[in-house]
Amino acid sequence: MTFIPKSWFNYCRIRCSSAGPVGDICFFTGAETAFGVYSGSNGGMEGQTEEKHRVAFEFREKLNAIAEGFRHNYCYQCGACVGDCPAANYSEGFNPRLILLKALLGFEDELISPDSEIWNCTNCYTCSERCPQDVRPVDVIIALKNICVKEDKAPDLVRNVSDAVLVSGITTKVTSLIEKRRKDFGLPPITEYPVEDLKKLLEKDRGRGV
Amino acid sequence: MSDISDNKYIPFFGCMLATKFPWFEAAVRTSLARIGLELVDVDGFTCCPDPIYFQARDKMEWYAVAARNLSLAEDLGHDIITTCSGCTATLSEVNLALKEDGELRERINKRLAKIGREYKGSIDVRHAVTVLRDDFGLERVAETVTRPLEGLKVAVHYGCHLLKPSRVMRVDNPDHPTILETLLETVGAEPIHHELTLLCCGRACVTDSIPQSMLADILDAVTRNGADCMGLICPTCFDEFDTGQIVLGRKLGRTFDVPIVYYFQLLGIAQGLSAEEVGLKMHKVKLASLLEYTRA
Ligand code: SF4
Ligand code: SF4
Repeated sequence: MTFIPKSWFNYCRIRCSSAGPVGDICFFTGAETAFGVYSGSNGGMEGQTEEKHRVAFEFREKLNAIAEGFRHNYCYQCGACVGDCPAANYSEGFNPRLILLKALLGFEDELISPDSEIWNCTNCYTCSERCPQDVRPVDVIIALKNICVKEDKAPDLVRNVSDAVLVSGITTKVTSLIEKRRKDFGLPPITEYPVEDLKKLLEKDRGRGV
Repeated sequence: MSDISDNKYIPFFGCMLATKFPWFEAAVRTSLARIGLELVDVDGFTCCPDPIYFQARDKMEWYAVAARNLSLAEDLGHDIITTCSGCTATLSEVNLALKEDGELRERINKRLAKIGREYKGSIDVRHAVTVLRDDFGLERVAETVTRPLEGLKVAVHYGCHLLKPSRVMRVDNPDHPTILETLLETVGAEPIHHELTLLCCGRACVTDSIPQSMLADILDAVTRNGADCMGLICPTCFDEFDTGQIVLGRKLGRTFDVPIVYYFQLLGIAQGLSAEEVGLKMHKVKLASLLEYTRA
């Protein structure tokens, strides 16, 4: 377990409160997503709720156990991944830095859900090009998606497309029209997809993370 | 890397070319043969598998299915040549991950052993455009051009997974690529590099509004920059843009009218294939200036 010094939280607090609209990360609102990890002088915070929500390290453990999930620990919240992110530029809510922050703080309910913003990532990998810490934010997002699927909290689309591969070997279907078209274009017929092999390859260890 | 001196490659066409856009597969097969590549078909490939949903489902399963495909090609000892950016993304990334990480390779090989297969890490995965540029050279490609596409202005669309992650792809500078421009020049066309040339197609988003806003901006940029069409190398981007602009046009009450072409269709036509042979008539938005091309 990496020890996160208090100054790190102050840093996040400053970034989150001074950098304009930051979505729903607010440390001191007393709302459901609030954190009260700042325990120094509470300048200006008099009268705030006494209830403290602490960083959910259990969620980091969970993410650490997923392929590529461990990388989230290296994020130092610089925001270099945001500027050229197409999903961030074309929507209000999406922000890879905030997704990483939510992962670090353990905002599990927001991240692990079929309605989570992670499903708007376009998988373009631009963030991985930009990140100075080699966090590979998109790979962390994929790890978060893997947790959603495991816990049955992914959009139906994900199961539908990936189940199709297990049932027919491909994401699409081979119809008589397709076979005719291939013939018309002088292409060899499609040979049968080895579905049994796929089943054997994947069936036994499913869910054990082997 | 396998011995490339024999010009043999194993084509991995994937779901999209094989079933949705077989005319792309036809254009690839014919145009590459003219340049001198020998494609050695392998039976038993499955979906690569899909880098978006299948990877989102379970990364370890994604590694396993991809490793099975790679192992089939390894049996023949030639590099895999890909013609879909999705297949390129999956097979390249899994190939590199398994080559670099011995522990991961061992875990995946345990799974593969159940179906009597083993991943060895003995071949490379290369997109067809990189094979043309690096193994055969632009001059060899140019030699096969009998009918240069003079005056055809093609707005370049890279798509994400030819270039990124650059750590894996190692094809070109991901922010200032030139490979598609040079290949378009090689067939005599005029490449138009515009401000959104590198924007993603957005197919992976679950919310329609993001890819649709991106699409509107890209199509407007193509038109504003005076291009006759958009040229690309990924069937998913093609689908998103060709059918997508009809759907979006209906929603917005506008007509975009930007023909989308796959690079190997242009290459085929420049080599003397007819518009029909490369399936230009199958597109939703037709490229009128090339439609009348018949066999040279
Ligand atoms: S991969 Fe996802 S998070 Fe990264 S830049 Fe692209 S859309 Fe943004
Ligand atoms: S660029 Fe990397 S370190 Fe910076 S905020 Fe994004 S993920 Fe974190």
